[in-house]
Amino acid sequence: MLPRQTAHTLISCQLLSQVRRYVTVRSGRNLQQKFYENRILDRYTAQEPKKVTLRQLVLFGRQLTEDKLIASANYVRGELPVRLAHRISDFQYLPYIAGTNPHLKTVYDLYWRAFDEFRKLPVVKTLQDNRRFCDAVRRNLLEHSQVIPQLGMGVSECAGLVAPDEIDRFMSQMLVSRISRRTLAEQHIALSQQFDEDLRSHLGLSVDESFDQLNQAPAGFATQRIGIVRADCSAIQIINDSALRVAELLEEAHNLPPGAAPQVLVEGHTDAMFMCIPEHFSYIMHELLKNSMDHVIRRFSERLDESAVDGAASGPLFPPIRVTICSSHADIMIRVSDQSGGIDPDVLPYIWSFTQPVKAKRLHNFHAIQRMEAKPAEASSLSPLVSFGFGLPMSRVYAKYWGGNVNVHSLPGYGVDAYVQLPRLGNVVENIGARRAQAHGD
Amino acid sequence: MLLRRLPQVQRLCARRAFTSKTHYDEKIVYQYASQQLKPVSIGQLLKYSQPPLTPANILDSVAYTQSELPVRLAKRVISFHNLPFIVGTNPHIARVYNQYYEAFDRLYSFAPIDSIEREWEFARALERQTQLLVDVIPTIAQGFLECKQYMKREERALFINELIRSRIGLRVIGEQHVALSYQFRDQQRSSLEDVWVGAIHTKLLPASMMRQCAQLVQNMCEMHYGTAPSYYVDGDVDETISYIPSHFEYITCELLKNAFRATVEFSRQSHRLAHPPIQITITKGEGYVGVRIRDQGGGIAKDNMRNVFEYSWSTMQDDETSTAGMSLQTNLAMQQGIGGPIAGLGFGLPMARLYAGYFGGSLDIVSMEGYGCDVFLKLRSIEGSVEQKQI
Repeated sequence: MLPRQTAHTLISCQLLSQVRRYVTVRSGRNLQQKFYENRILDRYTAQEPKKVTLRQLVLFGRQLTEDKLIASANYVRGELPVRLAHRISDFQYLPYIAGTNPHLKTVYDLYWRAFDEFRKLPVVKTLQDNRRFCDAVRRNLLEHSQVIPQLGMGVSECAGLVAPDEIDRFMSQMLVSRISRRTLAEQHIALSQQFDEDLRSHLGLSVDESFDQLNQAPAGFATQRIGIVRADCSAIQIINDSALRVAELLEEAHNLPPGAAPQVLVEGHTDAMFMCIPEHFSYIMHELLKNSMDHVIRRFSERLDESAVDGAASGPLFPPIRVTICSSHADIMIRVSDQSGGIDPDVLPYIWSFTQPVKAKRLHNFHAIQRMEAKPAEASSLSPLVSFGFGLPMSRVYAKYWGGNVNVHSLPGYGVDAYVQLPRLGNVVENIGARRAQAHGD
Repeated sequence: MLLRRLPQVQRLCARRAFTSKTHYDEKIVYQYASQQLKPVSIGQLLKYSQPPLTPANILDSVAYTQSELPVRLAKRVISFHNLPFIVGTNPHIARVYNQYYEAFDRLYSFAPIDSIEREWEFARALERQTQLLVDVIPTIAQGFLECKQYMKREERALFINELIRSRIGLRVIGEQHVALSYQFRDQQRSSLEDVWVGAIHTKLLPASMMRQCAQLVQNMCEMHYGTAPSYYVDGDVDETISYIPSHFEYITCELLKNAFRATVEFSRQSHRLAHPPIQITITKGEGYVGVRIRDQGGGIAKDNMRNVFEYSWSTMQDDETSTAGMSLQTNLAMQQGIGGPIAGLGFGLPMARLYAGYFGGSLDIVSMEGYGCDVFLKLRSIEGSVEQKQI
């Protein structure tokens, strides 16, 4: 055990990675230390998150003044530690054997550090404070992009040690809370950026000039922004964009000539619009279309070989994927219908689970990547043919977050019908689940 | 007697004061009803799948039937005893109660059968009896509609589920034996294809059955509304399944009736010029057949979705449901009609689901509100390799 002064010197002189190693070596002692520090956590888990609706986020930005921006910063500053605290608490209730898994422990430590950092952030009072706050949040978002692969690896290693239902619940809870924190954070950062841009052009400052001196907006300055939310998102546009991207990815992966991938035909209420965060919707459509297209291509792979022999294809090689949009008063529903041959009956009971043994093998693939943000724009170093067993359950987490759902019906020997249902009007409150149930005897 | 002091017996006696039937000894009913119920096994149904049928086979089958049916009928009779008194006095409910009691009386009083001639008498009696019980469901439906305020929804649903499930079992056993009986006698005259095992058709072609049902329903729709959507059948159209055709037909007709009706009414409502066709897709899995029926009938409103599998719940207009003034004969005559009492009384979907599930299948509905519905029907092939037990 090093004396206190030497410990401080170490931390102040050395790089972060070496500090991490130091922390890991002392991890046993840290765990026990944390047990007593938990009283701090309790203050935060005693609070409930203040949930929002999409509409509220939009209305907020309708008349964005400096005061409102600062209020938003402080709202996020208050929410992040509360939401993190609940999730840290979830870790603490995991069976010991799972909590000591090195990957899960990594996430646990990351969350503890973030929690500590956020709860100590000073109150935001000025625009400059806000910029510093946004930087801190942005750094944190970046550091936590390894969370999903770490969770995936940890969970795959725990398959068999802990009841699958319990781990599934844990994973879902982790992921939905993560989405909620990132949504609040990214929304605030986007609003701040947009506000600054507008302020810059209002003041006539060029792009290169820094803001360092500007701590206060002119009186009465207001702008209209809604950050990452889109109030009138066109469903067909996102679907078509996702379809194009998926087709490109898979054409490359399967060595198909350009344009040979299965067509995606969109029908129904093609002019449907709804309020959403486009990135979330895009992720879901991307995953579903990727599943459909990939399996259709595999199913008809003999046709690939035949056409390679013949040379130019005489017609479309594959049956199309039909997407139907259906818009009702309160919801929008999208059906993705393919002729992929259906879902393998051995896998079918587990398609929504993160943790069943049949999935554990695929989750192991997380070892090959460092970061994953579960965003559609992500370029992975791995081929899209590598499956993590993750896309469907994650899509459902995204959908359920705003009160929707994803469902799948398999027609064995024929194909799959997948249904995405999302509220249209943005008036559904965040669905981040109940807090951790109290242990007996409390 | 101690027996007479039992509340059930008192209720029974009180109720019988309202009926005109007298039964010589209700103790017998209780005796039979208290016996253990042996589930119907697929093995039993397919026992005589190797032609030709011998007299020994038939006598074996009748012995099984004779041991099973009275127990089941007795249990049905007893199940009425726990209904609230006011419900039991409803004329429709009382009528069904008496029908079951009479059926029990007739069948249980047959002495053990030892000869082919006696077996033929039994088979004919059984056939007649089945005919007499054919309107049980619409009658009960009518009765419960009138008794809506006297029973809780869950109690009613429980009773009806039990009744229908048990009725399916009764009919499967009874019809199987009657079919075998005829098959035995027919095979001596003509060379029967060996596709039938009693009432089970081992090479049923779902595609052709769907086409027939769709044609029938389309005709009914034209008759009732003056217009009807077209339909097409695609997928694995050459696949066959081993199943009881009447069950298959009942389920698919119910589902198609909903699809056709919804399409026409939604077209009217949304001023659509042409009806989008009904799409029927057949798929074959390992040991079962899947049927997907897709319509553009506007879907089912989210608030209504949880009710669609409930009994006595219907979206048909009120004037079409008030059949109280119509005699049961008229009701029966309209039974196949698309606007008939079955559709109006809200029994179609729950019953179809029970039938689908009877041999291990399933029925799921996905509603796309404002657009249409997708119905996923899965029926398990009745094959000896898969040992399933039904009640």
